[in-house]
Amino acid sequence: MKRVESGAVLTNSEIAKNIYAMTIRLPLIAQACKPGQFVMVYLDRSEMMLPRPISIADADDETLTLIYQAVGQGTEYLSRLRPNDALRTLGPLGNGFTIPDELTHATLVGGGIGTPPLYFLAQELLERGVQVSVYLGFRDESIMREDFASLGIPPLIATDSGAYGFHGNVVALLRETKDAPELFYACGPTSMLYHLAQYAKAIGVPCQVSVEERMACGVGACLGCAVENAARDPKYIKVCCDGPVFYSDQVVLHG
Amino acid sequence: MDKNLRVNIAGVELKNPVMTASGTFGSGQEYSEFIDLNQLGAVVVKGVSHTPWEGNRPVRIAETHGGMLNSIGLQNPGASAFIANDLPFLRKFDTKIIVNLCGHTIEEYVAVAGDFDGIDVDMFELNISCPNIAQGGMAFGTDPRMIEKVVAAVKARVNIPLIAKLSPNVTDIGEMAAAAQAGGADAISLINTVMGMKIDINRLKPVLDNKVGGLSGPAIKPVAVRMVYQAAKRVSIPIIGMGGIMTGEDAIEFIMAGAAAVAVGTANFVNPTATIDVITGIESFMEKQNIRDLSEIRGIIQEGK
Ligand SMILES: Cc1cc2nc3c(=O)[nH]c(=O)nc-3n(C[C@H](O)[C@H](O)[C@H](O)COP(=O)(O)OP(=O)(O)OC[C@H]3O[C@@H](n4cnc5c(N)ncnc54)[C@H](O)[C@@H]3O)c2cc1C
Ligand SMILES: Cc1cc2nc3c(=O)[nH]c(=O)nc-3n(C[C@H](O)[C@H](O)[C@H](O)COP(=O)(O)O)c2cc1C
Ligand code: FES
Repeated sequence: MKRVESGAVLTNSEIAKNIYAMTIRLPLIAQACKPGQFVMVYLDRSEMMLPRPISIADADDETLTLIYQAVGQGTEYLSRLRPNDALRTLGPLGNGFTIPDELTHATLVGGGIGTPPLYFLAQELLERGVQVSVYLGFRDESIMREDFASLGIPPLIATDSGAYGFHGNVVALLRETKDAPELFYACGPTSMLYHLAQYAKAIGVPCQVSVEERMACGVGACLGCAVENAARDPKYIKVCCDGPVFYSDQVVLHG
Repeated sequence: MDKNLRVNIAGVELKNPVMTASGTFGSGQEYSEFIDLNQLGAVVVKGVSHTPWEGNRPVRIAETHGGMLNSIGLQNPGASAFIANDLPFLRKFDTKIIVNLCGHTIEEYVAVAGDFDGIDVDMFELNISCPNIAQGGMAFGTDPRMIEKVVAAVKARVNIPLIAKLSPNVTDIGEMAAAAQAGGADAISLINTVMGMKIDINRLKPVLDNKVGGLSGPAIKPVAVRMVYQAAKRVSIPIIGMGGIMTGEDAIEFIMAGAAAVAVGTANFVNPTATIDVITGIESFMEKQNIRDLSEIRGIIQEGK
């Protein structure tokens, strides 16, 4: 069930340049959520009235972990919060990733700040006995390498700068390794999702993608978060409640 | 103390003066997990047209200081899908249902009103801020003759009360209100969103794909209160006030300006229980000020009151 829940920030620390991991005490949302879902974080400031959608990166019985990049005034504001500051949130929202019962081998593909929700998903997949491979792409600095490694699934890394791992983008890396899972799960920039979807289609592997759009309500009421529906009728569907996770052939992605 | 929050709008009795603003509350179901819809005076549903409207290309939302811009483009599945899929849920609650109607031509407005023949709803709200295709996309609601014409045409077609929802993007709101009354409107509601724009200076282009959009939220409240005050001088039909209402105190301002009832829109996005909080806020203001019935303060700031 969706709900408004307020809780104390427990930790909020910079894990890479401009990228922060925040844990918040939100037991009700934490117990109800599943991988691929997100929360709306209210900032309660008159210059920033709209809540910010952030994916759930991890959850236990008490706390929720959010990993976010400071890209604008709202996420910068979040980065300045300290332990014991209170945060009001709405969640869990969205459909989350679908895990087919018969799944045995999945490949997770993350781009930049799209990586965190895949960490939550990886744990769920491993618990279900699914074999998991992880491919992550970054511009320069990578994140969450050790987190995946400690789950026993060290990720293969691609960087645009060549600073670490494969020099190039993550879809090129994937092509090179010829990994052929039963299902791809992906989150990252739209252009990455677009190229991955093309590749997945070419090799005949279904692909779930988590997409982003600007949101006001987060619950399906405002119709702000439109994404183009590949089936055309209706032309637009809603990221916040029809998604954010779609099969890549359900939505029109742009390269 | 015994308080009376009931209001009567064109013969329809609301248990309290707080309704939802069209387009901000979906069809009610979206917020039913957070609040008890039975407590609302009325639910005004999202705009409905005769045929499905696909809506504008994203980006559709931009945040601004004290509010937001939207250019949804009145996306909706059309009246028959709305009646089949959305109305049955809402009808289960003890609240009034107000259907917001939109069209590109007078014929489309009349057609969508006709789609509700024999359907159990309580009132219509006519969104005359839609672009009029016959006049190059100029909004119906910016020309008093057009307002009177479209209101009269729909009024002749329906047998439940009709609210005309006015656009604030005009020079003289009183004239528009008078035109709606002359066309036969049973009530008016105002304000719809205020035309605005936001530019992404790093991308060198507007944030909204549609370039311009409608401003809502607390940023527009003073404009809305002023317009309710001015409209109330010109018409005798009830007024539903809206624009930036976040709290009970905000709602009281509208009532003192002359509104019979109020609607809560953008506040729902900031606080999913906003509608209930506004009702509670009105009650506690009445308690504090020893007000038994809102009629004691309605329009109280109007000269001659
Ligand atoms: C379902 C979903 C999950 C997300 N998960 C994460 C995550 O786990 N970590 C993370 O760092 N970011 C995530 N994002 C992106 C994050 O919401 C934006 O970076 C954030 O809203 C930017 O806010 P700001 O005030 O810092 O930026 P500003 O540019 O100042 O924001 C202005 C407005 O635009 C909106 N906005 C700007 N960029 C985006 C965007 N990319 N997506 C949606 N709205 C945007 C803001 O919410 C705000 O309303 C997610 C987005 C969605 C839709
Ligand atoms: C996302 C959004 C969608 C809206 N859709 C409609 C609509 O379909 N029909 C309509 O008459 N008004 C629509 N409005 C206008 C609101 O009903 C209301 O008049 C306006 O937002 C001012 O009130 P507020 O500041 O409380 O939001 C919409 C407003 C928003 C923010
Ligand atoms: S954010 Fe309001 S409908 Fe999706």
